[in-house]
Amino acid sequence: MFGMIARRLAAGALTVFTIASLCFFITRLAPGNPFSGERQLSKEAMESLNRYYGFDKPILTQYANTMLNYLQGDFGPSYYHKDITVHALIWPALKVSTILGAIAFCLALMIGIPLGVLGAARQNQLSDHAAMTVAVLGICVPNFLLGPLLKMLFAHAWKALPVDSWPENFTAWELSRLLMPAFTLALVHVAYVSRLARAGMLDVLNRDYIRTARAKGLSEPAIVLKHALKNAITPVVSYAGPMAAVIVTGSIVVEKIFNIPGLGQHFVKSALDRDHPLLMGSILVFSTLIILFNLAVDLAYAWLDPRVRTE
Amino acid sequence: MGGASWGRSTMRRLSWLLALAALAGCKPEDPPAANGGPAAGGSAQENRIAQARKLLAEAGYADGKGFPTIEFLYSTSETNKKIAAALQSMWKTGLGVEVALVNTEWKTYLDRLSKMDYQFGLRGWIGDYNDPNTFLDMFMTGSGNNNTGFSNDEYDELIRKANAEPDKDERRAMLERVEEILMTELPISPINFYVSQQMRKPYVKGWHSNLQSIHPLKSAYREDGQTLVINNNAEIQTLDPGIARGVPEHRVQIGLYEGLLNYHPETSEPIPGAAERWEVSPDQRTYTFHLRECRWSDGKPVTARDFEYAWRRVLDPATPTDYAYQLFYIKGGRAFREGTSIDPRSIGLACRDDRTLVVELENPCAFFLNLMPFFTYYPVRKDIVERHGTRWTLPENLVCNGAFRVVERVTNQHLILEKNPEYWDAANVRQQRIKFLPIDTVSTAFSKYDAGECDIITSVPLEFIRKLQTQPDFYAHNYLGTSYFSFNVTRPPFRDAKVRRAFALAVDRETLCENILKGGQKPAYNYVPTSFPGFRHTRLDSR
Repeated sequence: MFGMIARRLAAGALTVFTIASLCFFITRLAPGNPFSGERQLSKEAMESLNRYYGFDKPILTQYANTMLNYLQGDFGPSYYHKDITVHALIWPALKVSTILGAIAFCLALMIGIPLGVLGAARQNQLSDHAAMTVAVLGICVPNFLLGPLLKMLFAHAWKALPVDSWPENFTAWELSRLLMPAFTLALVHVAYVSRLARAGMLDVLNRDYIRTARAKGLSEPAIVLKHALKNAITPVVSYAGPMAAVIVTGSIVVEKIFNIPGLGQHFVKSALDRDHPLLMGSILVFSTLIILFNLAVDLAYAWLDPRVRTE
Repeated sequence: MGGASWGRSTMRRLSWLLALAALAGCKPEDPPAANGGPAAGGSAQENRIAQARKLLAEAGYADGKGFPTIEFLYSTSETNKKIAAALQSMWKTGLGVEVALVNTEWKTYLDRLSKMDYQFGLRGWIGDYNDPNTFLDMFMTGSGNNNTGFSNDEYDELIRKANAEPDKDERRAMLERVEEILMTELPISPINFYVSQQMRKPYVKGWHSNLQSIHPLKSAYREDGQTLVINNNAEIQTLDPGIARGVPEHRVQIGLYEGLLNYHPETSEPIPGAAERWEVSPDQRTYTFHLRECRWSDGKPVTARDFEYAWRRVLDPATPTDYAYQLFYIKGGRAFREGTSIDPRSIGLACRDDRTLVVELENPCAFFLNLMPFFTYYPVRKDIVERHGTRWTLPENLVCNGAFRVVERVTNQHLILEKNPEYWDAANVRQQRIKFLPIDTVSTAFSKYDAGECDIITSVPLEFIRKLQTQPDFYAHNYLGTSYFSFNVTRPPFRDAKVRRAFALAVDRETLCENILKGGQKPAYNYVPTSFPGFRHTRLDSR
């Protein structure tokens, strides 16, 4: 078990290193200059900027310096945010993305599982069709449509919720700023979770031990909730790992629509600004997260299923 | 706030539906066919087109026959896309020429311009200061912003002479001739003059529209005393005035620092700031500024040495800034920055005492006082910079001399300023707290304004402009800037001035302003904005 973890961590580290190296060279191949603007840079200005940021050194020296700094946990200065380090930009943003992601994650499970269970328990009845319609809609409606639609209804037409932004304090009104973005982020996962839960539940409800439970005269809710649910949601558990990774790293559009200071904003803006250090920092954090989430999923499998452990 | 209310107008709801439709990919309003229908320009435009066709025929492309395939470059944005499509159709109907449109994201666009890797493309310029020179000197030979390959000895010589000319009328005559050369050679073709558009809530006072769209925070306030929320359109790059470079930084720093001179809140003309008076020598080469008694936000006195230090710091070749050229009017400034002189004493700056700064200029400069309120000329505290390095601008370290100071800065969320009690004119600063938002999407900012969470927005969604224009909280004002397209004159077909003129004349500017831009923009037949009293412009269609 520990051998496997060690091997996976080593492979993960190698992957991150490869990604960092590729990123370093690819970002420098992109046309344009981090410091170019409406006004073209004069030679004197270009030279001072190149000296300051070390662009006057050979590319391999820059590469070696960058990698050595990364090993020491130093992501360097941002080119765009001139008085803030990449480090100081990424951690608060990651915190925001993680909190939003965690809420969306819980929403996806809390709405998706009951919907799926309801659908399976009332298979082919009205509530099943309703639940699955919601699921199909969730998969079909893109978040760049859902977000503005929610804003239009809840913030502008009905004035029931604040329009966007990150909460500034812990009052109910401020905290309710999280509702619409979290729901927008969660809906597509609600859909997948409910379909997985429905399929899992249908499968379990046909098993012998459920038939036994029915034969013993247990009520239907007791059968579904007490005996079937635990086994029925195994597929959901295996989906939860990748879902967590997608939610935390995939909120770029939602952050833009709802004006949220998360990591996705840095990711997109740094690419457009040619802010190489911030872009690399964001990519490294994203890739590390995805690798760790995948490792966590594999560990969870191993824990659930002894056959995986021996492989 | 809160609570359900159906009391919204149908129009408002409809407009949000339109926004959604736009997001889903269908246009709420298709741009009308260019040149179709009776244009406001009417027969004048028909004459221009006739002239354009004649010129094109003279260049060997009668009715556009045999004209090579050409590409028009623009940077990606909804407005640019509409302008480019309209121009394309005007050239097609007017000249019979097929133009392919090429759009790229901003940095790639800039890269292609600077490498002259384009045939012709959409550009614009906003004046750095209130003088025609900021528009004209960019087309001097080898200027970083020329990007056309245009080079004309008389043009270069006249600009150099004009900027050393102490007589105002003489100088203006020279710059008028410079614009005449530009409108004769046409390395660029003006399209329209800019208009600044903003929306502000009725309870916002002391915030005035002006030519440079400059808004000193000192005078702005909310009647009810609540936090004033302003959208800044982008995240600021820095709070260090020495390395700042853009409009978002300017909007904030104008409240944090005070130069020797300030902008007048209504006209944006220079008025006394940290300097209460100044003298100019008869040869107009020496300026002596006398500082008033004023203090930094930590209570220490603001001295002439703080200004001298800040300016020398910008001119230091080690300072990573691209605005050092703003100080090249000072004697020895350029030489020191470019490394041809390494003696700091060669820079024409001296403090006669703590309250007197003497500045020697390289040449007489008619607009030197106009530069004083600009951020590159703000004072900076030596001890603070040396103690904290690049971290000196973080809220816990920053020491400033303006009407406000920073209390909180969260990247991509907000920047909060609070009234600076040490400011010399604090009695006349009514606003206690100002919050800047960094929203860069026009629709998101507008939605914030509409929901009442933002008091001032300085960009307005084009889709709704017709409707918003009728609202009392909408403000439009002439803006010191020109939209134009430039040619790469080093390559055919635009090496030929006749072809350039034909393309310039075929553009129906009235229709473009009226039906595409719709925000009250004025058609531009010359390049320098028509806001300089007494300046005689040459129209591109005058010959």
